[in-house]
Amino acid sequence: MIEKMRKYTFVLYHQDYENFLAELQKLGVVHIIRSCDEKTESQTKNLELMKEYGECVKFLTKLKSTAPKQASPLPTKALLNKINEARAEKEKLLHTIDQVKKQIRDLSPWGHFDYDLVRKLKESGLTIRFHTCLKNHFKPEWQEKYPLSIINEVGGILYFVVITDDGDPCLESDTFSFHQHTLQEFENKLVELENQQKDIDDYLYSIAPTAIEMFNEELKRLSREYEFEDALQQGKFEAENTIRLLSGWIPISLEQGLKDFLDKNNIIYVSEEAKAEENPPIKLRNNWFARLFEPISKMYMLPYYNEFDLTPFFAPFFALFFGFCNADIGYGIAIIILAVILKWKMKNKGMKDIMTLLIIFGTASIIMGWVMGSALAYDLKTIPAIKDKIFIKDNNQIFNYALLLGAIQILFGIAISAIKTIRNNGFKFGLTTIGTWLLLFGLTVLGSSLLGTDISKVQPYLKYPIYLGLAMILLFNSPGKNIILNILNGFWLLYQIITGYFGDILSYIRLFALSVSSAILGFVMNSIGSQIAHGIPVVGPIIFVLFMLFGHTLNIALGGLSGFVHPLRLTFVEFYKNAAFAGPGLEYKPFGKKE
Amino acid sequence: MASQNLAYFLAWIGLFLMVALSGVGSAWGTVIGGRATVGAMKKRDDIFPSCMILSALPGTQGLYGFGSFFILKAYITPQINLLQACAILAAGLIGGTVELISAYHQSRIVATGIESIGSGHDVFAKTLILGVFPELYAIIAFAACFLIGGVIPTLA
Repeated sequence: MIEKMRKYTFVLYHQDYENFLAELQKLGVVHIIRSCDEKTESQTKNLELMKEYGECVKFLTKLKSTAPKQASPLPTKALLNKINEARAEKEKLLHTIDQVKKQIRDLSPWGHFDYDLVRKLKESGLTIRFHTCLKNHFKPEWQEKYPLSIINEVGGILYFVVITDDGDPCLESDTFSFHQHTLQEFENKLVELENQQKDIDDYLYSIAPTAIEMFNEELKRLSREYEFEDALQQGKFEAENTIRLLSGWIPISLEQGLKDFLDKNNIIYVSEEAKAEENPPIKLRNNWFARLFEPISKMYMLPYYNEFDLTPFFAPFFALFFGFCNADIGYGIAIIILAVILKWKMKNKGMKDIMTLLIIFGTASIIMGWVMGSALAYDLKTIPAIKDKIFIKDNNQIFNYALLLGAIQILFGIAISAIKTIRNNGFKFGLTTIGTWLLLFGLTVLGSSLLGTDISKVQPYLKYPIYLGLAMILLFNSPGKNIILNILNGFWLLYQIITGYFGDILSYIRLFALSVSSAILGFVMNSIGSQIAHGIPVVGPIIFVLFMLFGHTLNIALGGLSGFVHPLRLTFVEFYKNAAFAGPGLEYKPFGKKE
Repeated sequence: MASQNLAYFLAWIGLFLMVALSGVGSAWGTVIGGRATVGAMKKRDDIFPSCMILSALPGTQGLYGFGSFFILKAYITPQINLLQACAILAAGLIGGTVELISAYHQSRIVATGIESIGSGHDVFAKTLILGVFPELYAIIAFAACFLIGGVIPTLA
């Protein structure tokens, strides 16, 4: 459900405004109504700083440092600068290391030799020339013609030297020019640079936990400062700038705390009931079960203030659909085990809630696995002792139940839409929706006979809801307008209802398809696995276990993805459409609690 | 005997189309998604988990093709007649073509979403929802193959 809100307008003397805001920020319950979106210079500066700190925290977190926290010798900003300098220095070092490594790669085929000796030989009239060529281009007669020695062969290239006492030898090969420094010098330089890099890495690793903690604190402070600065802009000046008016929303359940504070500080205020047309912010309030599904609701959009929060209505269906797509007792148990382990390991409350949701999905998989008779893709219907206890006997029934679930959810959505219309606009405006429900209910029961359901007992009575529904659609779709217009509009509406309904129902076939494809894949894994187990002596059972683990994990992962994504679509497209959902609502973000 | 051989041949052609086209579609689709992910990660390296989920979406069409193959392969026997073979060939054409095209176009939605995520837009959930739109038709093709499978014994 959506929390009821109340609008407060505070009347403040301009000099008291800042103090009042500081107290309001501490309270953290009022969602301030914006009157200005301009950013001040200090806000812009704050944003840049937050970005810088955030980026640095992200970098330091990646180091996964387990070093003990220490008292930082530097203030926060100085530490940030030092870390950024260290990072820049490291970048430069890495660039230099790359260059030195390239030089080493060029020189290493020649190995280590005495450069002085080469120089002395040159002074005494003997020049040593360094050559390279492809191995298949090397001619053996060169060795007969010149004093030539092959030094190395790397990657199909020959490195050789020729000693001459006059001019260049006539060789079809490349000559190699040496760098200013020797290979030894480059290697020494590389060691030195790598040591410098290691020093920086060690420093960053040792300071990371301390810095992350300090920067996160600073981020919180900057965020509050930014928020405060933003709130300062929202107060409107009145009475020649001596008075400032600030408006905001507060959930009625939290109102008492604010009232006490206002009365205690003698602050003048006006409060009034929230009106839908003012677009009050939305705060959802649900029981523990539906609350777990709120992140799914928020993935799409929040409802308007005068709408129904559909979270508690789609939550059971969503879990059931997930179970339908992954109907397997073994998979359900695996999902629950994984979720319990992760829930125990995680510290973040939001993530813990997601794991609880996963446990619910796993439970749904176990229930539906029993209903369809599948455990780790083995068909439980083949076991005589429990064969009769399995509810769904074959794939045709899965197909029918997928459509049935769709029909139930769509009719449920239309019922919600009818109640909402009656509540918001009056009973006569809801008559068309009630008529739609009656018509579709009748057609659904009739249609179920095509799928083999015995409806002989109710068939004689089905005409009543169908005719009544038709009459309501045709006669009451535009209350207040003349009857001819109503009827003409009614036919158009009827066309939309019928085609839309069958299109929506068809969409639920996906539940059947996902369920069957997951079962088939699991069955194939088992077939291949049993062939491995029986076909390979000695190591067969070990490979069987590994293969089954890998295969079924893959199937669970794919089934989990499909089992989440497709119910998401069924919820936000088919169900929301039929429940006449309207949004987006603005999320309630109280001043002082913004992230 | 000749018609028996032709029937047998046509049925296997049907299964070939079903598995090959859907497999190609999924492989192609996941490659497009994967490439978009790698590109987007040049801008933001923290988006891999959500992009990986999106990239995996076009992978399911191949499974539907394989599932259809599994349902229909049981009907390919040396005694298969021409009518049954034509039904399997039709199922192969329906399944293979729809899976291939839907996987490719689903991957285009997904890749666009991934690029947007890389540019800093919070569109993961919306891409997920829009991404499964073309998959409905792949699912309907799979369901059609399943229903064709139910008809085949009556053609004996």
